[in-house]
Amino acid sequence: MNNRVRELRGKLGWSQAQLGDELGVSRQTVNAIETGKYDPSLPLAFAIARLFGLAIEQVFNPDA
Amino acid sequence: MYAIERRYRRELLVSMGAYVIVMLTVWPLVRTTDSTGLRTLICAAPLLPFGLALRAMLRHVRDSDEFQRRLHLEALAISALIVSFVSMSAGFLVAAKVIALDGTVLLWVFPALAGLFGGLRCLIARRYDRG
Repeated sequence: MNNRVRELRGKLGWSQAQLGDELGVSRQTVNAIETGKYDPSLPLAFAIARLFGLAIEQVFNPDA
Repeated sequence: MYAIERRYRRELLVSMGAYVIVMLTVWPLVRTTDSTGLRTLICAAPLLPFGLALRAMLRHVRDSDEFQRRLHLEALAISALIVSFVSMSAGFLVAAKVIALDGTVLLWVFPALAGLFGGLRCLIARRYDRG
């Protein structure tokens, strides 16, 4: 599954650790999601999308 | 650093520090104590700080995020399998009288499990951290 988390985080000028703090997860977890090595659960994916003010399908692309 | 990680390190440091103090001050008394009741109490003394360390580990796993739990599970599964295999092997060798081990060997089960878990946890995390 592809995602735009790194791009959206970059637009806000946040570090992985800052994004992790906002989501209540570790920096390592943010990194694993950004690199596509870990697909987040539905609640975490929704929390990420909500944080960026976007719909979940605008952040995560299951077809990629 | 992740807040849960900070809390875990603090709780583990305090509990293991207390464990070391008990092992250095209370445990040596077991050699000079004749009463079985007192020796039982001395044996229980290190278990109190050890129990606090186990509580810290449990809180750490319980409060970790979903990805960290996945890493914990993978490391714990592999380390438990290795320790189980070694324990079974040693058990058969003792039963067949090939080697002789006394009950104190059980003291090594937890350090082996914890050490393997820690090492494997780092290796598994590094695999995900690349890229």
